[in-house]
Amino acid sequence: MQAWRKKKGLMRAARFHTVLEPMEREVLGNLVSGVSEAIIRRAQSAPKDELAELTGIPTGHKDAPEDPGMARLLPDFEREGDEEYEGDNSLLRSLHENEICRAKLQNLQVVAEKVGPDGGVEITLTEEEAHAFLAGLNDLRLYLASAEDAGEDADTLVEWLGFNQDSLLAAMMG
Amino acid sequence: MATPELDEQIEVNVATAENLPWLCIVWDDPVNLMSYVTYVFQTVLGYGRKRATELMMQVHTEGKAVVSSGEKDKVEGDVKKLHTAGLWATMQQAG
Repeated sequence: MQAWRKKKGLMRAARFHTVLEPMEREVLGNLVSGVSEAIIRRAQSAPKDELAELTGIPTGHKDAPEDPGMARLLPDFEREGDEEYEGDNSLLRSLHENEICRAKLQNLQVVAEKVGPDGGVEITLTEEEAHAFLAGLNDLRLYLASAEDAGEDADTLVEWLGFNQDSLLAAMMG
Repeated sequence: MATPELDEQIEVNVATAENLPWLCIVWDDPVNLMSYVTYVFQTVLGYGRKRATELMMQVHTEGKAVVSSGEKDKVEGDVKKLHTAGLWATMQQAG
């Protein structure tokens, strides 16, 4: 891929631009749909409880995911051994996990749209899209690096995603 | 400069366990890039680039850093935003 570049316009806000290799676009597209599906499965398997249905306030899982990739995306709020860990930690998770999943899916959706069937190897992002893109790339890295079956290919991909992310950050912050 | 009354007030607050503030802690992580962690401290927690870089370095070298503190609700919100951004953050009561 080409390094991200900031394109300044006289009449409009800055945009960020890169060109991917076709293979990179395909790999990124497959990865983003795989991780999005894992997050959707997690959110959909949240226990239904009567209080949630009465109040309309959805509650999420009380326990951390077993899949190590998902566990890294959705860590505990409190650390084991802390005074209030038991009870409070699972309450915090059930209160917030669904919303965190939703926000992560929205970020990944921006990546998916750019590299998916309606996207292309040329990617242009507004600043708002760039923020979502960075967070989405980060979740892909975290998931891959923590996944159970992470092999050499995963390492290479984590490194490539890091290059992509670092390059976009440099274009945004520079 | 602090007045004597203010000093007394602070002492009372510190002595009451319920009033202890909560801390938001970010832990070192082998995957997250240093540049990304700094960016998150700037955009999510609102720190300037210099302070954000200092906090990132503290996480990197010491294994963790307290990145915010205050009422439980506020710290809970910070942890939630940091999890959304992919940082490994936890909360605990100070003391």
